[in-house]
Amino acid sequence: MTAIAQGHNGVSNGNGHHANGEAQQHSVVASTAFSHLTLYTGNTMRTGTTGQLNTTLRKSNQELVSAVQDTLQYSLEAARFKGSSITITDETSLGPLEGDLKMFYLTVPGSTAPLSTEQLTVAIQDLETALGVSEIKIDHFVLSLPHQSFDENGLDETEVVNFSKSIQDSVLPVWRKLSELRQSGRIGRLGVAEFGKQELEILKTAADAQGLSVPEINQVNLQDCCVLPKDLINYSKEQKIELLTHGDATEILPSATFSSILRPYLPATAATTLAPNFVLKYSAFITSRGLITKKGIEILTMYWSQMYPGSFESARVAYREISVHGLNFAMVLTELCLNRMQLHRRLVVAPLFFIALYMVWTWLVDWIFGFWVYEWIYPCLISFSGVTNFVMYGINMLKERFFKEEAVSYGSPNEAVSDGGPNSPENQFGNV
Amino acid sequence: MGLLSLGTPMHWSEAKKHADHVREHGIIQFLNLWQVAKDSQKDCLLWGDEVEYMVIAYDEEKKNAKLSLRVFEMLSELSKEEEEANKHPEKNLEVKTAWRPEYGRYMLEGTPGTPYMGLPRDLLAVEQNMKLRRALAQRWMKPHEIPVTLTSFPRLGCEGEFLEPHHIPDGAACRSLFVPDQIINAHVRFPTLTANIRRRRGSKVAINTPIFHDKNTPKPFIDPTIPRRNLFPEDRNAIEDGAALPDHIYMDAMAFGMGCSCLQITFQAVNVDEARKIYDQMAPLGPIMLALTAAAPIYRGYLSDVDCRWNVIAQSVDDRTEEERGLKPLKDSKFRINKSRYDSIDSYISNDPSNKPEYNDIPLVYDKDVYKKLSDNGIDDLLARHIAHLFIRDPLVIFEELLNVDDNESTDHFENLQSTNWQTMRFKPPPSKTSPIGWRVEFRSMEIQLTDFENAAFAIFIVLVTRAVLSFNTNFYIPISKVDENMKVAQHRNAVLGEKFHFRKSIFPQSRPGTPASGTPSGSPKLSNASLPRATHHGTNLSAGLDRSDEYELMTINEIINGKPSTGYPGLLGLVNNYLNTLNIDIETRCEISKYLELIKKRANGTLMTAASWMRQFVQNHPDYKQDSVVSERINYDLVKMVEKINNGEVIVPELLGSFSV
Repeated sequence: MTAIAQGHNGVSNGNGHHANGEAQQHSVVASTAFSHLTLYTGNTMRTGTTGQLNTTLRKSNQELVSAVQDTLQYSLEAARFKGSSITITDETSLGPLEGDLKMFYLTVPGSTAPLSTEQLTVAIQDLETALGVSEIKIDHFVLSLPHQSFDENGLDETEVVNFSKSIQDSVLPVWRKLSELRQSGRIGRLGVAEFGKQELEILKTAADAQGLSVPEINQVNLQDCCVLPKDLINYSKEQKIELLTHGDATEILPSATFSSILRPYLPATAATTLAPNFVLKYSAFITSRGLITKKGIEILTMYWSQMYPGSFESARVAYREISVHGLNFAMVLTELCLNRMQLHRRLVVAPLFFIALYMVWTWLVDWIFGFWVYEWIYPCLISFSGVTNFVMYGINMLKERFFKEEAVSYGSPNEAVSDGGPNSPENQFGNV
Repeated sequence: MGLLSLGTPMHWSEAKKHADHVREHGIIQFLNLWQVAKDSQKDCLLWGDEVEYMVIAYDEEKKNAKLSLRVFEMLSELSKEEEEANKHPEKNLEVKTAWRPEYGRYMLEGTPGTPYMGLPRDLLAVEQNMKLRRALAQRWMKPHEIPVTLTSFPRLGCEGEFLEPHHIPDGAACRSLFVPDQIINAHVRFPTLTANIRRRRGSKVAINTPIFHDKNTPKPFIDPTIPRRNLFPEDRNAIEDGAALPDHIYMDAMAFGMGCSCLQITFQAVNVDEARKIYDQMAPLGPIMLALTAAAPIYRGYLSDVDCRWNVIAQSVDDRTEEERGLKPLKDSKFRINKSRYDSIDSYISNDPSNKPEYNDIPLVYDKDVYKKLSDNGIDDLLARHIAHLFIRDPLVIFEELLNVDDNESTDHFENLQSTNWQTMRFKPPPSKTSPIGWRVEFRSMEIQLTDFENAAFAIFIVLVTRAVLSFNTNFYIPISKVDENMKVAQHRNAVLGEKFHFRKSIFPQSRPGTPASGTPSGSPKLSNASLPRATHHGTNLSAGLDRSDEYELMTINEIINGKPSTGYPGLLGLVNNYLNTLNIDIETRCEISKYLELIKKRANGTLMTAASWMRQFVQNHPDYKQDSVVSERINYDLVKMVEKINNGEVIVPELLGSFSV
C-alpha cells in the first residue's frame, strides 16, 4: 500500500518538477503542482467582450473563449492558491445579484458515466463565493447536457432508447439534486437546453416516476427559434414549459480550444492535459430596467484530469478506479522488490520502463476511447495477477534451485544482493 | 409640444420687457426642483413614443388630398378616455392612448396612455398600441378622412386647395404668402409663438431648401409660383428683398417646419447621472437615425434635394435677430448665436470619465449670469453650462396671468425656455417636485415612417440601443462639432447609402474600468489589487493627449448599424443582438423583435429603401410627372392613397418593406 501512495506522489511530483523547469518562461501558475483550476471571468458585459461579438454566428463560444483569454491576461497575477487548487478570479465581476445560471457539463464523447452531483455542489458553492452571498437563489437554472443539440427531425426508435437510458443513468442523479433545490425554492425555474419534444417527454416521465421536478424551461438556439416544430411549441404550451433563446455553441469548450487558450500561460504538457469539467454562465438582469449588469463565466477544470477524471461520482468510485491501476503498480513493484533473484540494475530499470509503458497505454486508451478502466478488469485483474504472482514466485524459486550458479555469476556481489531475504531489497529500493 | 396654459399672451414688444424676469425665475424654479429631485432614484425603465399624424381629407371628385382642419373635434372625442380616468382616479381606469394637439391644426399627437416597461415582451405592445391609436383616430373621422404618418405634407403651401376647408393665405400672425393663419393650432399660444418669432427676428422666417434638379427643371430654378402681394410690409421679403434664393424651394412660415411630423422617444432614467449619460451617448446617434429614417423629400409641391425635415424646421422657427445671426455687429442683442432654437445639441453634459473636455469643441454660447447663479447653487460645470446655454434664448410666449407664480410650486418659467429649445436631444427634469416621474431624456431626431410597423421598429431599436449602451457601458463620444457635420450630411438626398459619417472606432472601454459605471451596484474591496497591473498595462492609452482625431473615422450608415468586421466594431445592431442574446427571452418575443431589427438592418444596407427614396421613386414614376420636380395635386393624391393602401395591407411594396407585413 505504501507503494501506491508513493507511486502517486512520485508521478505528480515528477510533473511538478517538470512544470517548475519551465516556470521561468511561463507564469506563476506553473510554479506549483495543482489538481484544480477554477477560473472566473470578469463581467463580460462591462469588459466589451459580449458587446463586440460577431452576431452573424448564431451558435458560438466566442464569448467564453475571449472572456477566458481576457481573464488570463489581466488577472493571472491575482491567482489564489489553496492546497492543490488554483483560483483565478477577474475582480471586475463581483457583487451580490440574483440571476440566471446555465451549467454546461463537459464530458468526453461516448462517456456514459453519470453527471457528477458533486460538481453541481461545487458549482453552486463557487458561484456563492464569487458573488459573496450564501444560500444563493437562482431565478432560472438551465442544465446543458454534454453534446446535446436540438434535432428538428425528432428521434428514431434507437435514439429514443439511448436517450432514455442516458437520462436514467447519467442525468437523473443530478436532476434529483436540482429538483431538491427547485423544491426548496433556491431555484426559481428549472430547465434544460436543446431538447426536442420527445426528449422533454422522456425527461418528464423519468422525473415524474421518481417524484422529481419536471423541466420548466427549454432553451433553443437562435437559429432554430423562429422555425421550431409545431409539436414542440404545442407541447411546451401544454406543459407550461417556457421556450427561451440562447446563442451558445453545442460544444461550449472543447478540450483542444481550452488547451490552446491555456498554452501561453502553462507548460505545454500541462496545458494539453487540462480538461474542463464544466462551465457556468451567470447573468443577472435588472428586470424593471431592462439592464444586464453582470455576466460572469466560471470554468472548473482539473489538472491531470486524464488520470483522475473529474467525473468521479464519489470517493469510493475514485478509490476503486485508482486502485485498479494502483494494484497493477503494486504488482509490478512487488515483482521488483520481493524478487527472489539476485537483483541487477537492469532488472530494476526494466520494470520502471514497463510502468511507464503501462501509463502511456492507459492514457492512450482513455484519450481515444474516452474510458480508462475496463469493466472486466476488476475480477480478471485481481485473480489473474494474483495467480501470475504466485506462478512467478514459483518460477523464481525453481530458477533459484536449478540455475543457482548461473544466477550468482550474473554480477559482482557489490552490485547484487546475494542474500535474497525479503527485507533487504526493501531497504535498498524502498524509496523507488 | 408641452403643456398648454390658458391666458392672455403678450405681444413681443411687451414680452421682451419680461424676458429677464422669466429667465431669472426660471432658474430659481430649476434650482428649487434640483434640490428636491437631484437624488431622486427610480428603479424602473419607463418609456414612450410620440407619433404625430396628419389628418387627410380626400376630394374624390377633383382627385385631391387635402389637410383637414377638423382636428379639434376629433381631439375632444379622443381625449375622453384620459379625461374620464383623470376625473375618477379611484376607478383606476386603464388609459390606453393619450392625445395632444400639435402646431398644425391638421395634426394629432398620439402617445401610449401609460408608459411602456422595460421587459423585452413589453416591446411587443408598441406596434399594437400604435395600431390602436391609428384605429381610434380613424374612428372619429369622416369617411373621406384618414390619419397618415407623413413627415412633410407634399402640397403644403401650394397654389390651389390644400386645406379642408380652404382659406386664402392672408393671416396677420404668420403673414405668409402661402399658408393662412387657420392652419395654425387655434390655441392662442401658437399664433402668438408664430407672430413673436417674426417680431423678434425682425422679419418673416425664410426657409430655403435646395430643389432637386430633374431633366426638365429650369436652371437656375426661379420659383414662378411665389405670389406678389401688397398686404403686409413683409410681403416684399421674398422677391424684392431676395429672401427667396434661386435653385431653392422658398417657404416663409413656421407651419412649414412645425407642421412636419416626427417620431420621438422619451425614456426615464434611474437617476440624473444616468439620464445625462444616455443624453450624451445617444446624441451622436441623432444624425445617423435621421439619415436612416429619412422621409421628407417633398416641400411645397417640389421634389427637394434633401431627404429630411430637419433644416426646414430649424429655419422655420429661427427667431434670431440679424445681430445674433452675425449679419450686423452686436448692438441691442446680447450674443452672437450660431444655431436656431431648433437644432442639434451644442454640448455633452455627462460627468462620466469618458466624457473628455475635448469632445465639447464648439465654443458654447451661454448666459454668464445664469451660469454663475447655477454654479453658486452647487450645479456642476457641465450642467450649469447646458442650462445657461438654453437660457440665451428669450421666452417667446408669456401669459400675463402667469407672470408671477410661486417658484416653489411652479416650473412654468423654466419650462417656457426648456420647451422652446428644440434640439436633437432633450434633457428633462421631473415635471414638478411632487411628480412621480423621474429624470428623462428625449430622442428627437427621427422622422415618422409611413406604417406602424416601421415606427414600432425604430422606436424599439432606439430603446434597445439605450439598454445596450447602459449594459455594455459603451462610449460613442466624438467631438460635438463632428456630430454637427454629420447632421448636415444626414439630410442630403440618399445620405443613408451615399454619405459617410464620423463615428467612433472603438466603442468599448479601452482600459478596463477600475470602478463600475453609474447605475451598477457593487465593486470589490480587492479591486485595487487586481486592477493595478491592468492600469499600468494600458496606461499609454489613457493619456493620449488632446488630439482625439484618431478615435473616430468616416463610416457608412451600413457600417455604423451592421458593423465593420475589419475593425471589430459590432455595429449598433450587433450591440443590440448581443444584448438580446444574453437575456433569457422567450422565442415568440425574440422572433417578433428579430423582424423589427431585420427592417433596420435592411434599411441600413440598402436592401430596402427609406421612405424618402420610395416617395421620390413614386413621384418620378408617376405618369403625371413631367421631370420638372413638380409634385402635382394628382401625384400627391395618388401618393397619399398609396400610403393609405400600404397601411391597410392592400398593396405590398417590397422595395420599402420587403416581405414584412404591416
